[in-house]
Amino acid sequence: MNGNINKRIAALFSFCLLFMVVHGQVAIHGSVSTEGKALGGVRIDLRRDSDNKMLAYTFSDGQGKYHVQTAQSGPFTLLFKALSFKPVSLSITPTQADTLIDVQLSAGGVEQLQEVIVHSKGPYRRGRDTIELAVKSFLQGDERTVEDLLRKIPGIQVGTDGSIKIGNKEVEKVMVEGDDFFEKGYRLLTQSMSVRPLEKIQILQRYSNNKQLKGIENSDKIALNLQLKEESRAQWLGSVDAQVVPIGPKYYQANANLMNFGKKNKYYLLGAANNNGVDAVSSINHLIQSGSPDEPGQIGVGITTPTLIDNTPNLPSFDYRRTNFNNDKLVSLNTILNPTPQLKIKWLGFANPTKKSFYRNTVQNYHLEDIQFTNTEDYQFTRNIDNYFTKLELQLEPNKRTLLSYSGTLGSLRKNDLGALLFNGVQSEELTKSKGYLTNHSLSYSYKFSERDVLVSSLRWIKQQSPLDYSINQYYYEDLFGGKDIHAVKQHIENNLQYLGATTHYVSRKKNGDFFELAFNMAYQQQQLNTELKLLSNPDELGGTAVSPSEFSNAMDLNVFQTNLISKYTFKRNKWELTPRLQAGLVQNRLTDFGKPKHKNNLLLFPGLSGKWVIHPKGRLETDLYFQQQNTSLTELIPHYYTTGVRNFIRGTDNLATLSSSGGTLMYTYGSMTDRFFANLSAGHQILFDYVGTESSLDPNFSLVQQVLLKNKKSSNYKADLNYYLKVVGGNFRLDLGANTADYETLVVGVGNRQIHTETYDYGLSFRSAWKSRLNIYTGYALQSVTYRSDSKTTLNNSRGFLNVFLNMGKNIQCNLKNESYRFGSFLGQDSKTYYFSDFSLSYELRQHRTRFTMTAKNIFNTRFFRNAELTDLYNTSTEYKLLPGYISFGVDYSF
Amino acid sequence: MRKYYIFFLFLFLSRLSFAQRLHAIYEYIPSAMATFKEDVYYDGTVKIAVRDSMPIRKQELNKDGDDEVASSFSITIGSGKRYNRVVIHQNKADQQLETRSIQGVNYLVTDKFPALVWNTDYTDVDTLGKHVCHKATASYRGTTLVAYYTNDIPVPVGPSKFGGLPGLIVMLYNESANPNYWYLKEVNYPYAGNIPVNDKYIQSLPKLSLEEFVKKDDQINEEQMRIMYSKMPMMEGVSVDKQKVRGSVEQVYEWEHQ
Repeated sequence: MNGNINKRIAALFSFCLLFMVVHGQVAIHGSVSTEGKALGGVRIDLRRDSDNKMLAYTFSDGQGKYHVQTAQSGPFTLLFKALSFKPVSLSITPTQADTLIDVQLSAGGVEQLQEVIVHSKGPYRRGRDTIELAVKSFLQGDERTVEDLLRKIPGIQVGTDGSIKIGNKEVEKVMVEGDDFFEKGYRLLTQSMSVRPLEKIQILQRYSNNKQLKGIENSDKIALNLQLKEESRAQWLGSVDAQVVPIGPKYYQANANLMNFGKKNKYYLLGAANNNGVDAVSSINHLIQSGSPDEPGQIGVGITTPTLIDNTPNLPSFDYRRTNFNNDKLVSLNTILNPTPQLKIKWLGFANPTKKSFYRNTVQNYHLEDIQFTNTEDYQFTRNIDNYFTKLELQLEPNKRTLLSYSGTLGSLRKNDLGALLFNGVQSEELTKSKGYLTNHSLSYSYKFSERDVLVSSLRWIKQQSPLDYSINQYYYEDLFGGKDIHAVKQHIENNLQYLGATTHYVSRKKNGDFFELAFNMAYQQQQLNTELKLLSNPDELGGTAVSPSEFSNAMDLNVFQTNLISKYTFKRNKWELTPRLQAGLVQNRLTDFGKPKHKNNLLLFPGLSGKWVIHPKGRLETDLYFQQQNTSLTELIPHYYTTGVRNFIRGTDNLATLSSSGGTLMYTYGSMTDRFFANLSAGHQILFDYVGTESSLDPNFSLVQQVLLKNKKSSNYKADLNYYLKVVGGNFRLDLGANTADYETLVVGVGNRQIHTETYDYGLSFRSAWKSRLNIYTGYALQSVTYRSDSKTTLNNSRGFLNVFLNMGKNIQCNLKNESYRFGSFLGQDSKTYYFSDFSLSYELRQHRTRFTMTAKNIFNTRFFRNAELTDLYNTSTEYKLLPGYISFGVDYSF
Repeated sequence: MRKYYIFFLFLFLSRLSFAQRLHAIYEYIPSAMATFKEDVYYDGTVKIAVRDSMPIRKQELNKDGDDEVASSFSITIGSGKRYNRVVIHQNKADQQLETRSIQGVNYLVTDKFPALVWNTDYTDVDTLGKHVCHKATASYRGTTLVAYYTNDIPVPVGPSKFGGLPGLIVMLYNESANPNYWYLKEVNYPYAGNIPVNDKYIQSLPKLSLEEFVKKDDQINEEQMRIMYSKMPMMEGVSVDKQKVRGSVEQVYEWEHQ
């Protein structure tokens, strides 16, 4: 019985052993030697005979021993290979679980290697500026949007506002399959687009907006390109967010965006509405103003009709949203089509019906020798805007060296301003209507001669009409025009512009790193300005008659034909860089005033020199020197008066003059942001040999401002910021110092020439913590002293304090408290007053559910009015603005 | 201390050994800004990699000088005295020795190097130089290494700390927004020259484990980041991500896993 059991056990054991050999692990061990000595460093690889696939490999150790194993089944070849020895190849079919094979190698084989390896591709050479990343290498499963994925890629930093940085540089744009919708507004895309259709991310360094300038232009821009999976079908993605105030004033904000990216066609739709002060158009503003003037081959960038009447408030360094009583709506549709690989069509359009209101109360005080009076203005202003805008871009790339692109825009810009005015206690209503039209077309051709030389030529045509009708139903100008029965004043303005410009720009990058640029451009600009002021004696229904006072109408044409030659050479060396530049232009001007022409042909010169120098590893010096000549512009030429609002009439010099100026700046930087001590010092000086100043005739009810040509205006500015990171308190102290001075002249009728000297001094101290804790603060205090000195001296001292507190209450909860105080020195008989503002926000993010909840408390102290003060060389003003009340809103964002 | 002696014993023996030595020269390209020369010596038992402290001059690198992106006006972080970086590894040992420096002070650092598990199961083949090279990948300290090796030169050797493939590594990089590249430029066998490593000097250096070294280095870097953060202009809704990004191949160390 026992024997039977033993036999069975033995049979089972043998079977298992056989099974292990056939189906289980095959292990081979042994030693390698030569001439009886152990041989280390010999590669032993086990290959399957059927397909020569390497199943396992190892190297013999210092004693010549080795061990390889595989789960695969034989037959196998065991190959022994080492430098200076003949390879040995053994065919084996192991019949045991662990097979012992000892091998002796004999000298021979590869005995000598002396090679220089030439790689056909290097990382930063041929495709040197593109880094390509496979998306699946970085996916961990919890990513939802492109932004989530980018956060996981080492070297890419994503800020909480969605800004993407690589190193210290923010990316220019994020493209999809080489197509770009949003330029710098890429977060619309990265925060909404799903990672699912993505295959690869390309990081494009030294990026150029014009493909042909790539590698030739002196660029340090970075862009990202998202490549989609072949099979990824066009899917609709998007996000919605809404914010409402449940109790109290009814404020809201809502946004929705929807997008679809196919390989060939791409669509993006956006809708936004709010009445909480946010300017909805600001998110797409960058789409309207395309083209950067410092890029080669650009012409006519920034050419537009001048704005003659503008009543919107100007509050520098104050949050505009606090005074903006608005109702903004925006709808935008965008598409990119790629019908063939060589052709790209991009179209975008938007409509923006908006209402903006503000309330202000101004006290304006004149105190010039015998001219002494005070005006008060109570102003309630409502603006209705109806803007429609469309843009078409075509890009054709017939071959690798050539690029042809066209961009055309068409816009209808309507504005209706209604102002209810109480001027020195007299009620009136001011109405400004404008129905503008704009079309702007540009055609550009780039040809790349070689990897170093490119020629970009472009042509631009602009036509713009900005007509305007102004009226006020009160007559304040009896002392100016006489007449008693006048009940209203009107002014019609025709403000037209036509522009045709062509440029050809050659850019060359030299072997030693120097850059050379040469451009030739020609531009013809025709501007027409007709204004007519009418005094209406009776209401229209009573057969009202209109009188146009002489000297208050314009019929002017300004035609300017300009030819320019621009050259620039950058000498780039290890520690310094020097760029001399010269622009020389021939200008033909023709100014017509009611049919009477004036001509002027002149030469304009604009030489300059800029330099950079690394003085020592921590110190850097930059300088710029220039001399500039330019001709008086349209608004400086207008021969007769026109009104710019209730009590101002202005006219230009009527003199085709050339204005020369010269200046220089010097900037020194010590250290960098990562050093404890980091400082920037700068100084600048400018002399305007000729400048356009003013001669004012002042009356409580009106002022007549005549622009005059004056000489030698000098201004200087000095600025320093010193930063020191104090380890004990874990934060940076920053001291800001600034001084600006100017000396110039103004003329006032009845007073004569006034020499004005202005001084502005700024002092600021701030502290920003970088604590490891969840809490961080940023606080500071700044003082400004402004002085105007002529026959008397007026000084205004203002200050601003702030304390921002950031609290990170966990991975998904963040809160933020922002406090500000503004204090204005005693002024115009009013005591100094301090205003406090406080805003709070809290957000909670549920990443898995693609949802974020927010709570915002605005203007917690419910400060309803804000009064600021301003000094000028003629008067002092104090203006009170009405502010949006305090409220608490709740919001939710959802992406799909 | 014992481990150091064993290492130096091997290092010493390797100097004396009559085994034929292989010498490989790599170009190490940590960014478009600079390229360093890295010499690797291997005698069948011990690998020594020596990376120059100074970048190769761009004229030498490429006659077409402008092919480099180097700008004289970039911010440099934490400059100071730098030393050659030496990595010593004995075949199959579970640790390596390397010299590292922080703010001009050199250390001898022991790295209990995690075994690289190479996935060679790729059909991708690339010809680099005259060699047919096979692709292999491995997960390594928070990044993925991509290597191309040649079966023609049967040594488990590669640049820096990397190796263990069936043949000499001809090209290696890590997948990242800032990839580090190594390109094999030259190979000599047998190599009869000297190995420019001063054992006595290396042995005299203060000794740290990699964990101690990294923590010390991180502390200094973190402070530098905080200095920078505290100086950055204030923007609404913007805060700096605390995500750790190291300027090297190694992103996450074993002791940093939660």
